[in-house]
Amino acid sequence: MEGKTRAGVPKAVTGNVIRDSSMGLVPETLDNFMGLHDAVWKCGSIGPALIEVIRLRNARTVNCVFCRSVRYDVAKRDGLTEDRVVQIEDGYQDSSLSKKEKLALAFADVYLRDPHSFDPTLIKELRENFTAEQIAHMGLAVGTFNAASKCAVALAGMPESLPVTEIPLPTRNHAPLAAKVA
Amino acid sequence: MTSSSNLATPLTSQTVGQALKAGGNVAQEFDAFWAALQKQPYIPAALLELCRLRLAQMHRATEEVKLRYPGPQKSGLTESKIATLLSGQWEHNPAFTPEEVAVLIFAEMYGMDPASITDEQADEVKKHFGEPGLVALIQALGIIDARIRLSLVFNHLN
Repeated sequence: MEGKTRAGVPKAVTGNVIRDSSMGLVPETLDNFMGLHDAVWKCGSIGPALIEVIRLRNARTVNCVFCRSVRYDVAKRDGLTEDRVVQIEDGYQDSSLSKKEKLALAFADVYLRDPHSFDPTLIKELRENFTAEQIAHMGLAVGTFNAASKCAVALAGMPESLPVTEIPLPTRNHAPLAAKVA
Repeated sequence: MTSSSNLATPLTSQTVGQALKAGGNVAQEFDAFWAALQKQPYIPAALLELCRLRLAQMHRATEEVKLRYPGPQKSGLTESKIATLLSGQWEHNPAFTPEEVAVLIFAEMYGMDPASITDEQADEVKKHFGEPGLVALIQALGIIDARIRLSLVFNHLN
């Protein structure tokens, strides 16, 4: 996916990767999107590592080059290593990811691939391993990430690949420090 | 094997909030973003409603297709126009303006695969609504799609 992006970016640079993107051209919704993004990451019922697992499954499914290359610092601090990240691929059921990670991925796949098709065995296992709050949070997380990735893809202009890069989580009121290339 | 819905009335984008209530603050922020998108000044509400119905049709979300949000109907969106949309005969129908056609083509491609959207299709949207309109449209399609998908998923969970 090469070429020009289909929308520009705001003139003012804040250092926040979301505010400084094309999303910043719509100030009427930007704060609300940032609020949702913050809430997803800070929900508390599931940790940043598991949220990142869901985010990366979405990123790879949508094939958003930027989303696939990013690793948020909060997930790394919560224990998500690249050894585990590489297992978030088709065939993860046979990987050494934890049971909860595999269930979270299976749930994300229902959302991403066919929301009409939900194996009752998976539903039972989700209910046995996660609370209603956690399941709601996982649904809202994959929904938010899916919308954001599709936004990046629809706006085009991303290169064919990007190096894996750890960045601070962009939050509503924070301009993060410079990115570290992993 | 697929579970069937346990709900007497299946969820839609309008009612999915009930199923997501356990999500607390995250669910509230999700609803707030949707409310902000419905009020944005770039893409008219009636046109977003047509996009919602087309995406619902593409998702085979039967209850979603039957749903009508009251605001767009108050601003003049008719059942006749909706029927033409859902029949698939809208692209060359004079009831649809060039800007509506541009947005609906974009919405269809988004629904199939955002990577398949062409520069020309994006340019047509920008011609009528500018770059902020294009971004607002993409954001709205994302949340419409999310609310439909979540309603389908949580129909199985409730």
